[in-house]
Amino acid sequence: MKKLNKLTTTAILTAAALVVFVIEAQIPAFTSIPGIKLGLSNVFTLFTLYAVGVPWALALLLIRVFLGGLLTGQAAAILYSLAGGLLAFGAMLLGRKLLPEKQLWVVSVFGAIFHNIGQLAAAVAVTGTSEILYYLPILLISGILTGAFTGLCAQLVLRRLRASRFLP
Amino acid sequence: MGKTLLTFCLCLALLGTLCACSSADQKSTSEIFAMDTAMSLTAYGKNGEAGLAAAGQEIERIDALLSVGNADSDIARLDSGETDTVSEETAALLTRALAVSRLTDGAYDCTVYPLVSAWGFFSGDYRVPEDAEIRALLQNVGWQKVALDGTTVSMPDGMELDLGGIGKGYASAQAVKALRDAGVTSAIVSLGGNVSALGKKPDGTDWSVAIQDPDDTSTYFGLLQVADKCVITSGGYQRYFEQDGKTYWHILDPSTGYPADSGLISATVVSTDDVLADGLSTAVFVMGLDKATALWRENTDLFDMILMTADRGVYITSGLSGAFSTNESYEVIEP
Amino acid sequence: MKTRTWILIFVGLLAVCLAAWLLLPGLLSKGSAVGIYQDGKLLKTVDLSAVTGTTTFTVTGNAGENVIEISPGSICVRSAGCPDQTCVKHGPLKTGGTPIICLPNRLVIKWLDDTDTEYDAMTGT
Repeated sequence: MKKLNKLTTTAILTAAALVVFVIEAQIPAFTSIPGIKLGLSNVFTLFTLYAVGVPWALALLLIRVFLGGLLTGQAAAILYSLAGGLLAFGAMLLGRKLLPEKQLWVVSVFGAIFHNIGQLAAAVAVTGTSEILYYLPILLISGILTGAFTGLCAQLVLRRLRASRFLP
Repeated sequence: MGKTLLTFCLCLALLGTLCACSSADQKSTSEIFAMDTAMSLTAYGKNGEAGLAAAGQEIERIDALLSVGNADSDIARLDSGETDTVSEETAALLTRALAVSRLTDGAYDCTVYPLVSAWGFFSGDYRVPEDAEIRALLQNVGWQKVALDGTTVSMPDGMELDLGGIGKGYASAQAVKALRDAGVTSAIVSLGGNVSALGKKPDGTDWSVAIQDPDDTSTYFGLLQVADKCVITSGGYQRYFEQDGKTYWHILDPSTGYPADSGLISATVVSTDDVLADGLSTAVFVMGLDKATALWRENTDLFDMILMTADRGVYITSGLSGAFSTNESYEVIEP
Repeated sequence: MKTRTWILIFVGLLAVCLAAWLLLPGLLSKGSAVGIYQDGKLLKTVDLSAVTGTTTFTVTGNAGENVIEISPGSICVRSAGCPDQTCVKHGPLKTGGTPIICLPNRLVIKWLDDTDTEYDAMTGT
């Protein structure tokens, strides 16, 4: 993909990620940690990672974290989102190197798992209470399920696009 | 053209969903240490933080203004004889203190400071003064001897004022006002146990205020539902010491100089006027069930009360029936 | 690794998490976080259900020292230098009860999660 195409593609996907993020934020929080969500917008980060490139995906993630936090009026959550997002990104980067594209969904699940771990770790560090870890089991459950779902979506779309020569 | 319009509308719709969702339930709290006690403030809504900051500043300002322990305060300078003029705010508060003193026939008296001091309730060096000492100190107790002309105060030498008995009430009233001015519509503050509520809870229900049980301060004997009112309790159990098998508490009867012994162990006053309620709760404790009932019957619009006698009898005034729940049996005082 | 293996791994993980989520409430009571404040500032938080032995935490103020005793599921003031001894008399912090307060030392010990008490405020001291 040419650089301009990468730029515009990433821009559109970032906007889409923000929309999904904000809509997802309307679901009432079920933990006392600000910013814990399903993580559906991660599908865009994942897709960009495979279809466009690493730095673009990172840019998308960072913009989504900061603007998303501001748009949802939860600036406090930015810290946790960042911790989770960056940890997840690292995990997905590694997964992408080690696993074939047809197991993209596995990479996504790991991304989701590490996203939650990152958020919880940040929350524990900030509040100094370990009580928060109580939420780890339920978060992992939702993480694995939404991770698999978004991973499958990204995987199927990518396969189609590659098959139709839209993408290399 | 149609497509552009459609896209535009879609963008507007998206923009609409982008606006942060309801923040009306956002809870802000602050803990303050002022007026020698722990204070806890809770405010809801997006103006909560700003409101709490303003309320906190007000409380600290009033603390500095009224504190007898602070040598620069109006009251301290008045009591030491350094000056006989006070600020307009202090004068206004003094006027109210004298009015409550008059209303309760001296059961609340803003001139008892030297007496309470002699018992050691301020310093912590508790002692039981001799009869003679108490009689001597009583010479200088008597709100009627205080004259206020504008901002000039005249009182006999040796007399000392202390507005602490209504100070927290004034602070809670001002704190609530600061919150209201900041745009808060739902808040509750507890200034060392003086509770004052602004509006209702975010879900529209009344605030639940527990009345501390005098015999077991870790729990309560009743729950009161209030909105836009204050709830203030006075009880000997709040500050006392024991000597030679007898218990002496900090609420003194200004007419005898000894701890009030009217048969009540807890007196709670509920009102929209925090200053009045603060002074009245002390006065009612001193007056006892009968005198307090008489006072209430002449002022049913001004306040309501919940009383507990030494034998754990609970009495509430009719204005509160329907808002009070308890496991104890209680009597309703009718007008 | 084969895709099937991954599926098995994740399903296994899901099962473990589900079990943990169902069993954990029994082991960990929700309102067990306590905050120790001085002058309105939070000095320390303690999760009483995670405490294994008995330790002490000393707070110093204008009226001497408050020796706070922290044991599994309980916290109280063991001794204090203030004349009133109200904080010592209070005994252990109880659920739904009042905070432990030492006024001379501006010390407050209370539950951090007091959203499930039956009342919003309590009068008295």
